[in-house]
Parts: sequence; structure tokens; C-alpha cells
Amino acid sequence: MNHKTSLIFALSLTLAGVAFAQNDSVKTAPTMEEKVTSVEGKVDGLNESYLETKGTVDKLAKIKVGGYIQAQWQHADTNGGAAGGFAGGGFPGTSNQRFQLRRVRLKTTYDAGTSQYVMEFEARPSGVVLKDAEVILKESWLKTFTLKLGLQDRPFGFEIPYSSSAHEAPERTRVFQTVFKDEKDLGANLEINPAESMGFLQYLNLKGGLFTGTAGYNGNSPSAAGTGDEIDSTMDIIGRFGFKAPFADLGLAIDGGVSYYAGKVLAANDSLYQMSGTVLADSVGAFVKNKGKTFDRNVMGADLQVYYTIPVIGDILGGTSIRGEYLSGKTIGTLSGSMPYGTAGIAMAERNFMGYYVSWIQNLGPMFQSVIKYDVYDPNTDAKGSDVGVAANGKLGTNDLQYSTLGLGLLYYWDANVKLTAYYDMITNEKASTGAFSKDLKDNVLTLRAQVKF
Amino acid sequence: MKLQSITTGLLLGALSLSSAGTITVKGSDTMVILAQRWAEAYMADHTGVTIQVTGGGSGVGISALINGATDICNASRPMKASERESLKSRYSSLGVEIKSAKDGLSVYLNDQNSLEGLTMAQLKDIYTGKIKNWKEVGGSDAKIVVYGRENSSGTYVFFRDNVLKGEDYVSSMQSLPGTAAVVNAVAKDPLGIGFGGAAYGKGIKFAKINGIAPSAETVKNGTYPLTRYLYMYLRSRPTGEMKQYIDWILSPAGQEIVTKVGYFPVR
Repeated sequence: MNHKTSLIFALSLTLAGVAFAQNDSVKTAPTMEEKVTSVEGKVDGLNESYLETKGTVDKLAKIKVGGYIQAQWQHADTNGGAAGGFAGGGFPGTSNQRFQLRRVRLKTTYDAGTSQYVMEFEARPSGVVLKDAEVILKESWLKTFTLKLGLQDRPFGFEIPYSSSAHEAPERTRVFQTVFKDEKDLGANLEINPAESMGFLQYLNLKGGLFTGTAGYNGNSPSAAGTGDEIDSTMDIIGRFGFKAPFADLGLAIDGGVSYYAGKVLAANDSLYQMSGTVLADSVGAFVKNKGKTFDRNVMGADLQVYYTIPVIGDILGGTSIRGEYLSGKTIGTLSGSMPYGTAGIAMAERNFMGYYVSWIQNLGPMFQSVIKYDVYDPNTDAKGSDVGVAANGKLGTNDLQYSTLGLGLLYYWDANVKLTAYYDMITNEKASTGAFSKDLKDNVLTLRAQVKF
Repeated sequence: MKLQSITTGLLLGALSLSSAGTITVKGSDTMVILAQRWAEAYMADHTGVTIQVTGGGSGVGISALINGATDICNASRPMKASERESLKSRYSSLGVEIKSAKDGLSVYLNDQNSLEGLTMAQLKDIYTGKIKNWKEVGGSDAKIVVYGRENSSGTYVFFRDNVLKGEDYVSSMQSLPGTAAVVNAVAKDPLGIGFGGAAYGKGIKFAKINGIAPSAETVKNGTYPLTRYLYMYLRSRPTGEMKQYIDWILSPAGQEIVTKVGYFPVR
């Protein structure tokens, strides 16, 4: 067989094969019913696969991860910044401007319905700090009672539980930063929020519990210097009774509450400085030994928030809110300040204090907000500025002077995640009789902040 | 003078942002067809206006309203207190609630099911898992296959609050993404039961609840036990084009579309 014959034979076989194949495909073509059955099988398979995947996704959906970063640039009137570092911590003594990572938070929550696990960390250049660690138990019958155990916000007032990421001003007011440093404490807290089905009761709420009273001391909660351990065998009681009055038809809502803190502080030193007339005097002079004794630390507070959409103007610009809070009581600190007393073994100083703030927040369309905030903190209501710097008044110092701060800010909500803030703090100190504090310090601070939250 | 200029500039900027020609609507899947019909009809008569409608569920829509991602949120359930708190915190506003239509939340049975109706108590027991067989409610001796909605759905929340009285759904419930999917599943499954809006009820039959069938009359006079409103939520009282659109929805022309889609008018 030559090549030509071979080629013809092979071609014939190929054509015959194609013809048979076509004939075979005609014979085995599926009917419409078979096709529908096949598609149904595939759909059932996909459905089964979807249900399996859904089971996994439902489990993962119980885990929620969130967080935010606040990066900012600040400019202060003088090197070292504002006294006390209440605008995001003290500036370096050799600089009047800085870039700063103010807060870097990561929060994880596992929500199993009647129980929740919450853990929040703050990462700083100096290390990682635990901010929140809570076991949350919710009853499922009345859907009203919640028990929180662990490191959590103190149930006091409005500013403490109002998230740092939601605040319109960059920082909480000076009185809260001092008296309730770091906002958190270790304890057990029962919250009663009546369900919407409970009629009038739904507008009332109560939260309160027992706390160690030490978690925020001498550093961050709980830091190496302040582990949060109980040291005085007495629990501090903290609570707030609140109300919410919505008048939706009027575009008005009024919320508020009264709070109370009753705590004990263990003296780690014999000396206790107390006001006597215009003198901050040491009890040791009267041969009283205080080390090992406990002293009262009490704070009372009241807060009010009014939300209103002003007719015509508000319909165009958006809602307005006016918030205010007042607190007063007795702090146990040291001569160098009214921050909560720690365990370092130094002398105590007891002072009566007072503080308040009023803020006005106005939406300007859906993306802008303006804020004006004024706050006053008098760490020692028994001492006047003119008493400070007088040699006869013993240990009275600049930490006994009153401060007021007027803050002006503009916020821009870039999108659902990003908030940009420009804020200017104008700080005024009470005048002492002598020294640098005999005039108003140059300590105003400008903050430009970008926050990304997810 | 400089401060005045800046303030005036900001206010004008804010005004221009709030009166843009596009209105975004997001939320309830139950309402998505209704919202699309409204938008199409309105845009046909108002050529300068663009209305973008998307679904996702009432919860998703409310989140979008709070995040500023939508102008109008459609919801088949009232806003929760916690959601109002979020809105209050961000916008100093409780939001504005507009009742745009009425719906008889319907319980679907397969056409082959011999049952004509259920009581509210039986419905609760089926969806909480206490009743598992059709014979326990007067049907054939066969397992009940329970279909429902996903938890981002307002219909899911409404049914849980009003039928289950806050109890949890039976874990074997098959959660489906949209009322149309529930209708389709029940239509294919002789042992199935599902729930959703009246407008979706094609190819299946509606169960009477406590002996009352969902109809224009029973929904309007409130005798049908699962009557609910369909809501629209806004951050603040509407102005400009948004106000005109809302006014049109509540007008006879807008409410006529409600009836055409299968829901019931509020006026």
C-alpha cells in the first residue's frame, strides 16, 4: 500500500468515526425531563453546599472585630504644651508641636446571644495595654438584665461610657481625665434596660456595681504600676440611674441621669493633707498615723443631653445637641495632683472638687459637624487662686488652681469610616498670687486629627 | 468678617450637599419591588431626579442610614431603640419615620397542603420547634419543613417579636435570602411553611391566621393578626426634592402603586 492509498483509507476511517459519533449523540440526547432532573440535582447539590457553608458563616458571624486609629498633629503655644497634658498627654519639654498616634484600638467580640466575650487592646509605641475584658451575660426571658464582669467602663455619667471614637472633642473633659482616669475599672456591673415591651419602664435605666477602685491608678488599666488588684478589702460602689425621653414627633429627645461613686482609699503613708481654713495641712503634725487606714472618696454627678432638630433650619442643616454634666465630691490624691491615689507610699491629699462641661454640637448637612465645648474643673473648692503661692498656706500648689477650657471644633465625616477633626483648645487657669501661674499660661492647643474606624 | 465668610461658605456647602439631585434608597427586601416601582414612576415624571434603589434587608438599610450611605431607609419593622441611639449619637436626631404602606405578613403553605389555616399559638410552636409534624396541627403525618428569613431582615424581626414573642427560631429553620426565595421554596416543597409579605404570594396559598385570611379589608381594619406597616426612615425632616418625593409616595398616585404591587395603602 502506497502513501496515497494509506491516506485515503485513514480519511475514510475518520469520516466514518465522525458519522457514527453523530449518530450516537442523536440517540443519547437527553430529554427535557432528564435535563430538568439534572439541573434540579445540581441545584439541590448547590443548596446542600450553601447550607453547609451557611452553618460555617453563621458561626463566624458571631465573631465581630472592630477598631480604630486616631492619628493627629498638634501645635501648642509653648514647648511642653498644656499644663497637665489634658490634650492627649504632655508634649516633650523641648517641642511645641508633634505627630501622635493618640489611640490605636482593636476590639473583638464573640456574641453567642445570651453571652458575650469582649476584649479590647490598645497598641502604643510603649507597648500593648488591655482596655476592656468583659464577660457579658444577658437573660433571655425579660431581655432586660445584663451582668458584666471584668475590666469595663465605670457606670458613671455620660462622658465615660461615650466611646472615645464617637466623642466630638478630641478628649474627655479635664475633670473626668483627673477623677476617673482611664475610665475603666475591674468589677461586676448589673445593667437594667427594660425592654421596649415594658411600656413606660423602657424609658428608665439603671446600672451599677462593685469595683476594685484601683484599676486605673498610677498608669493605664491595669498597667505594671497599677495591676488592678484589690488592696483595701473594700469594694467601691458606682451607679447611675438614667432616663430617656424621646418625643419623635417634635424631633426632640431628652436623656439624663444621676450618678454616684462611693469608694475607699487605703493610705500607704502616715501623712494626710487636708484643708484647714486656707491651709493644706498634714495630719501627722497632730500626731495622727494614717498608714493602713481607709478614707472616703465620694463623687456625685448629674448629666443631661438634649437632642433637637430645629424647625426649618434643622431640617436643612441637621440635628443639634446640647450636653452638660456636673460632678462634685471628694478626691484622695497626692500633693502633686488629684489623680487617684496609688500604692507608691507617698502622702495623701484630700480635696473637695467640682467640675462641669456644656457642649453644643450642630450638624451642618450630613457630613459636617461643629462643636463648641466649655468645661471648668476646680480641683480644690476650698482654696482660692490668691491662696496659692502664699507661704503661710502650707502645701497649696498649682494643682489646686481652677481651669476652664473653651474648645471650638469642626468635624468632617469623609465616609462611613473616616472622621477628620480640627479642634482648638483655649485654656485659662486661675491666677495664683505669685510665680508663673500669676497670669494666664500660654497653653492653647490646636489638634488636627484623622480617625479611621472599622 | 473673615469668620462670617467661612461660616457662610460652610453653610452653603452643607446646603448644596443636602440638596443634590440623586436620592438613594436602601433597605427592606420586602419593599424593594415597591420602592423600584415608586422610583420608576416618579423619575418618569421628574426627569431631573435620579433615585437609586437597593435591598439588603431592613437592618442593612438602617445601618446605611446611620453611616450616611443612604438618604432613605426602607424597613419592614420599626427602628429599634439601639438603632435610634446610634442615629442620635451621630446626627443628634431621632430620625423621621414615615408609614408608607401596610402589609399583611403572610404565612405560606404549599398548594398541596390540606390545611387552610393555623392559630397564632400553633404558628409560634412550629417556628420555635415545639411542633414538628403536620398531624399535630390537623394535617397529614409528615415532618414540617420550616423556611424563614435571614436575621438582617425586618420581616424576620417582626415575626420573632410578634409571633414568637421574642423566643428564638427553631435551629432547623432554613434561612433564605429574600421573601421571593421563601415563596419559591414553599412552592416546591409540599411539607414546607414560610412567611413573608403579601405581595410575594404567587404560586402558593396563604394560611388563615386565627381563622382570618390576609385581605385588603382585614389588613385595613386590623383584624388580620399579622398586620404591619412598611416604613421609610430619614435622618431629618425631608426638604427639597426629597420632600416632594415623599409627598408623592403618600399621594393617591404613590399609594395606587402600593395597591398594584400587592400591599395596602396607608391612606
